[in-house]
Amino acid sequence: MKTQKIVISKILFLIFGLIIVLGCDREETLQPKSIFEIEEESAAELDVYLKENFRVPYGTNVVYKFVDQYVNPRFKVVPTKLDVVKPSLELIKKLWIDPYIVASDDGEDFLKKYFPAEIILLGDPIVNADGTRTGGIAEGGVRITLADLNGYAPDDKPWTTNLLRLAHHEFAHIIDQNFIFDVQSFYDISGEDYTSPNTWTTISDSEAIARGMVTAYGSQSVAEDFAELVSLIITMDPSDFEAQYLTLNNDCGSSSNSEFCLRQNEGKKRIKEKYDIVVKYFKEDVRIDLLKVRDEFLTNVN
Amino acid sequence: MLKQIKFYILLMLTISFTACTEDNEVTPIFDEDSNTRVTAIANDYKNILTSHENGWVAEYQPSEGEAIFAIHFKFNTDNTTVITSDYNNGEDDLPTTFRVDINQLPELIFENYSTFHKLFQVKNFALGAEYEFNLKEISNEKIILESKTDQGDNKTILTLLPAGTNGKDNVVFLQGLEKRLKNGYNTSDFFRTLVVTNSSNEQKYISDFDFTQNIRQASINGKDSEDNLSSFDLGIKITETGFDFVEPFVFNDVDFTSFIYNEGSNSFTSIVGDLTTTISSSIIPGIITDDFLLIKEGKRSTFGYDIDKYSNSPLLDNGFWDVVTAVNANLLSDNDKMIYWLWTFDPDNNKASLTFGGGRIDGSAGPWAANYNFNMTIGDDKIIKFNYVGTDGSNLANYWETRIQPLLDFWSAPNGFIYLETGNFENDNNEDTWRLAGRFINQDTPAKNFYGVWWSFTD
Repeated sequence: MKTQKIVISKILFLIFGLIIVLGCDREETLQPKSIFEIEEESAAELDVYLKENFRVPYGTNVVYKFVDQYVNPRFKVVPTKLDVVKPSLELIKKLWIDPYIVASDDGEDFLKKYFPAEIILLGDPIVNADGTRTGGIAEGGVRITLADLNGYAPDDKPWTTNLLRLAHHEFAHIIDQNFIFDVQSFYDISGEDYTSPNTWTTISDSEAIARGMVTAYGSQSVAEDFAELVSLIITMDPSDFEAQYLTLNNDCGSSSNSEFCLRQNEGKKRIKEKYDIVVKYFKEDVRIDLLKVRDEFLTNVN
Repeated sequence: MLKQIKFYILLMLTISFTACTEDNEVTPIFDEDSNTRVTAIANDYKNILTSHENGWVAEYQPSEGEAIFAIHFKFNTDNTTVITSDYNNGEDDLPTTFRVDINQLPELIFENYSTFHKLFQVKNFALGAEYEFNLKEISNEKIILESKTDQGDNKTILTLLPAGTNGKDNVVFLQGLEKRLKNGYNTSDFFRTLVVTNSSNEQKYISDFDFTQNIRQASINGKDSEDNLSSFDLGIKITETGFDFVEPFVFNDVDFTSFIYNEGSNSFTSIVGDLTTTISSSIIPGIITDDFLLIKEGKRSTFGYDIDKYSNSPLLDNGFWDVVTAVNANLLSDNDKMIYWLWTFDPDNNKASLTFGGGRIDGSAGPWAANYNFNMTIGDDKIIKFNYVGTDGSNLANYWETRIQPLLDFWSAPNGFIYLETGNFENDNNEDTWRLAGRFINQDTPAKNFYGVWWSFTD
């Protein structure tokens, strides 16, 4: 009986509680309403260009005006010059977006889904707290920061290649973050030859090749190794890539440093293994023909 | 049980009658929501910025003791700003957008690269400049901005005042005047010296006067008639008639602040009481420092310049590029060019080795290196002399020897070189700016001197 009383008591309490909660209409002042006013859309030529070429087709917000929230306060950065924004983005369209579009039947849809939601443009390389410089950053699979835009000059091929090498490097991180890359496959190849984010500057690019990586920067981790390799596959002429990273030296015996020559040969074999893994990964997992991306890039850049 | 039911019914009735009665009587403190009010304030501030037809003028001092720059602002309703400054001949006055925002404080941000950003970068970010400001005070008569990024209590203040009809023209007039302070301006005499004389024209003090344009600062290292040394690093404000030191140059408790330019003598003069301070051009430094000892004692050992890596430097002079041009002309038939040169000093054995690096003009091959041997002497007169001995015997060195003769000749100057330490390395590509730099001044043709970076040095 006592139990029955407790149950009835609880039911009554619940009913009254509901009456109290539901009994009052919401005040008008508490109705859901955006706290942000919708800012009038800019009619400036550059903003219209960004809307038509990036925001509408890919949902990408290109930030070319300085906003401190996009930058680590410990970094020293400067914004872009206004007059370099549009020509730099034209290069990005031609040498980043277009190659991916032609590299797959679904290239356009692929970019609609994975092209970064935000591209932050900065004027010069980011100066880190320790004085080192960074050309770009990929964050969270959605945002890419490209620095050094103020170096733009028409027909400056080295600068263009450098910018796009950076863009493809950072985009490789985004791809890696969305289509999980088999990290172990690279570890199995280079194992303990990786350096670290703090020590990669202690080795040269030649030493990196001997360790099976294309650049010293790439030696710091599998993720950077992967991104550097993708970036160089896309942006280097295949014959140059082969000569620099794949072709073995058959005359190490007559080299003044034959031991290092032999190490480099071993490193190049390892780079070839990684090259095959990366191309296969793009084709089968990402469903992008990386070599077609490269061919279109090279056609457009020349 | 019935007792409980009665209790709950009573409770329900009480709550039902009282719960909803007061809600609609809440009186809002403000007529509009916070976002509308914030936007309105920002718009009010923006209206003040854009309302002055002639714009605003300000004197900008990035931090205490640094130079002062004259700046004119024209804020437009489309959020663009036209900045006109007397810094660097106005070359960095690029169009920028601005944003008035309310974060923790109302703020004014210059959103694209322009003069403020250039000043922020120079001196390895140590000039103390900024491009984000908090709006401390704003009215139609005056706008006071405070640095948003300075740390500590001593933040930069920038006061904008309404410009008159000539506000912008007055700044434009100042553009380019700072070049009059540069070494070698209007003369082939590379140096400037500062001399203090009394009414009997007796020299009481003599020093170097080195002007660094990108931070608008003068360095004075000198000695009085009793060989007491003193040095000053002084920020400068350009005036229509000459310049002012931001903080005075002091000699014998006399402050010299304002200097007048005399075009005929290409000199600046300041007269206080019976003392006259004159800054004029010279073929040698006012004072030869003991910087050469750093080389003699082995604290500076490898020195050079990599053209591919650094490109140009504001501190390289035409003498350097004349040598590069002459060498490159000799290498042209091989499709080669000079990439770098590098000294390796061995003062203990009075030897020095000059390494020449060359490569294909299109960058497709090289650099290749060849070594050239010199004898080196460092005399008590503080003069460093090099005497060319010959190549290191390699085929490449022999092949290049006649082709790089202008470089070998430069360093073989019979009267030797004065060496001056010049602080941190400056170059257009901002590479290796943490390294120390120096300048070798050719005593035979002082207008020709080589600026370079120390790749190996100790304190």
